[in-house]
Amino acid sequence: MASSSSSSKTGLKKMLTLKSSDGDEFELEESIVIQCQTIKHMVEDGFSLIPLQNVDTKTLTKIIEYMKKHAEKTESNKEEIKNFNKEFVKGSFDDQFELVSAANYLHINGLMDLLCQSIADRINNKSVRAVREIFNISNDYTPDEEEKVRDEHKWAHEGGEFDESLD
Amino acid sequence: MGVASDRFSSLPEPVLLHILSFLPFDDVVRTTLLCNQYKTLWSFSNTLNFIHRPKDFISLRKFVSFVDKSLISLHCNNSNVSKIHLDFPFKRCFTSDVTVWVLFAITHKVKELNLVFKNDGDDVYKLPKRIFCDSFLEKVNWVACKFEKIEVVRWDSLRELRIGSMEFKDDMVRKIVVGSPCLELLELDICWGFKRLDLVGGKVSKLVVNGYGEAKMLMDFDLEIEAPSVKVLELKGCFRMNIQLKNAMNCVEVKLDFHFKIPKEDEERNNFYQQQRHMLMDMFASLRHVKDVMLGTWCIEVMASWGMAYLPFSMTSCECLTLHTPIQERYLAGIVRVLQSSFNLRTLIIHMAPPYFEFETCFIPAVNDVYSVGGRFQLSMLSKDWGLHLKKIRICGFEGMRSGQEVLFLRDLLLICANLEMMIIEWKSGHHSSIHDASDDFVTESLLNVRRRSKNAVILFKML
Repeated sequence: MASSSSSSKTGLKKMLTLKSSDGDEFELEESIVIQCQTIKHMVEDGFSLIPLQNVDTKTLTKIIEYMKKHAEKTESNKEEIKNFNKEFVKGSFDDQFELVSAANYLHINGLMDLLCQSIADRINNKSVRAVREIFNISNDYTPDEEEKVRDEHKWAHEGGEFDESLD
Repeated sequence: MGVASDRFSSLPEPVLLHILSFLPFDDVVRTTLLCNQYKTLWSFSNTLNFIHRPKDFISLRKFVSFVDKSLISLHCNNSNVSKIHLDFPFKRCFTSDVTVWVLFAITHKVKELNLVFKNDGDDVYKLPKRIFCDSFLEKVNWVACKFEKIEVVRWDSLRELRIGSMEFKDDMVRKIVVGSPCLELLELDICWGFKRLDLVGGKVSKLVVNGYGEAKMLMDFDLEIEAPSVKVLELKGCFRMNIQLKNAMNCVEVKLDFHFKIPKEDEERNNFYQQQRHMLMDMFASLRHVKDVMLGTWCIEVMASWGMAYLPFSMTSCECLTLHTPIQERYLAGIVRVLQSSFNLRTLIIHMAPPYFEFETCFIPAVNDVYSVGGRFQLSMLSKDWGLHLKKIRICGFEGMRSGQEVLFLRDLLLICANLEMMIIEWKSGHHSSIHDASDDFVTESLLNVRRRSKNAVILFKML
């Protein structure tokens, strides 16, 4: 294991190093990083340099931004955090999918909920056609198969009007 | 399962299911039509959200039959459901359907069961007896339901209990407290029927009481709250009776954001404000030790009428004080009265948003002897060694100069606080962003140029 505490300038605060799949290293206070269950368990096992093979630098930078902000969370800055969260999920779908995979791998529950909620909001009450289009899903059913599936769950398609828009 | 071609479908299955868990269940079922990969995914859902706002009775009936069919399919698939969330305007004729669903929840050992049955009429759903001994429930939110007459409650795993628009008596509270050894959060939202919240012997660490329902007039009893285990106490919404805090010895954080229905008769009204003052004084006295305090506009209003003859605000241990109040003449006396005796303050936060309830215009604070210098506000009432520990002041919802008093107030705080490190002003400038307002310059200049007592204090304007 690499020596990490030597580079720590903050004295009492325990520092950890996260290493992205691109090889970049990020030094952070332990108190910030333990929001992430996966890392927390590694810290408990005595690691101080944590390689994250599934997370690239771009994604890790975003995730660190999230963890830093949420480490500041108190009763009085709820609104600030809410605004931060709103901005945080504004990226493209590709970025969000990258982030959600990383959040899942790292077990950051709050971030996981935030991202999944934001993705879900985009397809809430959308028609099947719209969802396919939004996520670029190609339909591999034959017309016959599709009719059969529709029949099986007829009751789900009877609800009412679905949103055909793509935004 | 086929090989996914798009980024969404390539997400790991648990992630896909997590995303689906935020959707109404009809959306989830309709994913079956997307492509082959989604044919069976829906049936692994562990969260079922059945939410409906029907246009008419026919659409409500369709919804009910949709829930029925979904649960039957899931039951046959032997699924692993952990949360069921039902939210629709309940009608009495669906009682047996809902009971079948609730029994489904019990059989499937769900951990979270929400029954939100708000409706225009007075249709309440009578909870089946078996729900009171479901030892797998961890979290519930029930609105417009009705408690059965039951002997005992056995909620061995229940941690969070939220109930709204429900009637219950004091003995029900006791049964719940005794029968729920893990209960941490109790939230009552416009409930009625109880006179005493006795949480002695339980582990409830957060208690939220949001208003008291049903009553059309003032109540002739006091609502007693005895909550020795509670660390966080929140009282909000509208009440119609005095509240007595019997025991709040472990409370560390309190939010008093409630208000009262003001009596119509003049005679009652005079008495009323005096009663309010006494109630607040008693309440503050039982919360004397609390470090984190939030006071809503009502408290400030009542304190504004709190002449010098009365005892000062007695929550002297308070280190972090949050006030939800406009900074206007009407409230200033109250604000000063609170500050006056808060000697240990480290952080002061003022949310300047107007109160969320309407005051009757005829009420004018009776006594204003807290500030008397030409009728203009002065913080000179504060002693010289006031605010020695005050490090941080945060003003939220600032909208520029209104009466000018808010500027004077902030300026005076800068003049008084000897060890202030930071004053943050969150400035809502949204509506007139393009037009430059000269009064804005006046605000920034008067605050930045003041000879602040703490030389190192930083003043930060955050434009939102």
